[in-house]
Amino acid sequence: MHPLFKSNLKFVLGCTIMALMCGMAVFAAISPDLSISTTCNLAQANISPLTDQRHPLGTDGLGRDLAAMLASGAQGSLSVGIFAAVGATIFGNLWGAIAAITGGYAEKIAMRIVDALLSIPSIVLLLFASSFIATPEATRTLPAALTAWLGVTPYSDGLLPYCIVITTIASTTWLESARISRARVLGIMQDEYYQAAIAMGAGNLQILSRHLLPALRGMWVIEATLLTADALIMESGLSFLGLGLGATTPSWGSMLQVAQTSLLYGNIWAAILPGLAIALTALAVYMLGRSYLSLIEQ
Amino acid sequence: MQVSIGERLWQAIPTLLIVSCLTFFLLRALPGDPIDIMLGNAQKDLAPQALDQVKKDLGLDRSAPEQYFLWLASWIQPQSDNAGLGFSYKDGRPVKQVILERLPLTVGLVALSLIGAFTLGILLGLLPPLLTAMRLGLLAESIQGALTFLYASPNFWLAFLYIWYCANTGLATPLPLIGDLADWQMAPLVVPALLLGIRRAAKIALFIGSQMKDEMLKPYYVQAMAKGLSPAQILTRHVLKNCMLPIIQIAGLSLPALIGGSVLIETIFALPGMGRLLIESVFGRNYPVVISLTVLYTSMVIVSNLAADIVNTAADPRLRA
Repeated sequence: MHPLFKSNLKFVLGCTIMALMCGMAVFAAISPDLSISTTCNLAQANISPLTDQRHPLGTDGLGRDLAAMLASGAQGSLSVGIFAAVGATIFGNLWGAIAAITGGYAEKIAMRIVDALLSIPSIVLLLFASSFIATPEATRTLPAALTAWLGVTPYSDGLLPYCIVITTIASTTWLESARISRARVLGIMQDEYYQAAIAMGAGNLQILSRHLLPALRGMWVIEATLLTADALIMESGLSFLGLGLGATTPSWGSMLQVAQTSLLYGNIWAAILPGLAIALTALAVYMLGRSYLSLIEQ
Repeated sequence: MQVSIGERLWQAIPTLLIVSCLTFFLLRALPGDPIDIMLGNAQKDLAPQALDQVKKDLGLDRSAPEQYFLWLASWIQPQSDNAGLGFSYKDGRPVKQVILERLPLTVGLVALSLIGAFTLGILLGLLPPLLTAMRLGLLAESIQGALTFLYASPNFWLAFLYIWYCANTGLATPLPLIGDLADWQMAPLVVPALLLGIRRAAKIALFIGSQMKDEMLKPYYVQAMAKGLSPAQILTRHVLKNCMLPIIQIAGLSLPALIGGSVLIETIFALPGMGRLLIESVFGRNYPVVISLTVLYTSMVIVSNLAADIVNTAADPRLRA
């Protein structure tokens, strides 16, 4: 048995929840008639859970089946969370590591940029970038090749909202990893194996790919897990303001936005379920990160 | 120490310049024209000359870099009237006045939530190590789990549940009116502030928990135990002090997150604060208000980082030398 599983409740629990959420997302991707259940149907709005056989978890204020919405929301929320976190971790670590090994003025300027960006509250940048999705005419100004590749048509935004939200969230979250990785690399540069690699005439690229990045690997995983949860919560906040993935792409955050009006009709489940999905996923990601941390600490 | 504060304030100037420049040009790169949004369909009925006049009044007839330098110059030139930061496109009032109206609410909200997060975080963070020391490990674990769950839940979702709870139990939600805020009456802001700070509190608590776990392995802890001190005494008198430095750092760094959260909390509770103003102004392409708000937010963050450093220096004798 893998040592991770041995008496590690956190890991098992985290894996179970993540498997459940990913399963929902995959189900939403392959299931053909899910779009019927997620179409607005005001005649069946605000059904409570466990009262209607066709809607086991009830419906929201627009009459969309909550179970189906949760599944298709999983697709949007999870992909944003994971891709934004992975992108931010990779970019941030490379930035910090390259700054550290370059040194001199380049390093100073690179880190000053990070400091400046860190003092802008990320909500400002998030609001700016997300405004692109909220204004559909902006998509027409993009190059045709790009819109064709992303599947943008007059009827659908295709992958464009994903790209924008992922880039936006990643571009405000990579800063902390850049700082940490620079500090770590500066530490590693004192180590003997690093000095030996320099003495043997290794180039910057070789040092980066052979010696530094593998040494930072443990940190990457932790950062990526923490950032995944953060990105998930950020996306839900943006969607809640009406700026996230947009109206055509469901996510747990936009479900919460709709739930605001359902609440007026006493439909609390439309608010509880997506929020619970966000919280549980973030929790699972944290637990996975922590159990990985305790594994590498042993 | 004196030198480093002065140096830090000096360094803040290029940061603010970069931030304002970035904001200014990003904002103008956004799709949508402030005049379109302002006039809507009425634009068609307007004579071209009148339209040009509107553009000229707003300073939009100049090129973007020119506008930016004019905006910068308005900082340096002493202004006799309120025109220092320009005028809001929406209602033509001075930006300074528009922002000052909204300032007390957001400052109160963020300050209350920072204080709340700090106190709650320390209190809740002490609980699991204390319970562990009292050999109630299971209870400590479950509190730790609850804290992680709180940290993982979006705070606007918790605000939802709170509103629903209030509506169902007939509990009046005491929400502030603009009149109250002019007098800096903060009592109605307590619940929104707590909801805003709860994730931070959980983060601080979790952090203290893991810090203390490490500290409790050190010889001084064992020695204090052997001396017969109660776990509560050891934790508050000895261990907590050793964990304080990184916590002060976290508290100082939490301002950007709290400001971001305040936008959501203000939206949910319909509070007329700077966060709402920011969203309205970004949607309305109200350039002068957005750029002033961004610079204000950034200066708040810079000042809070500096304050955290000063407190840290005061708390850590090693840094004073």
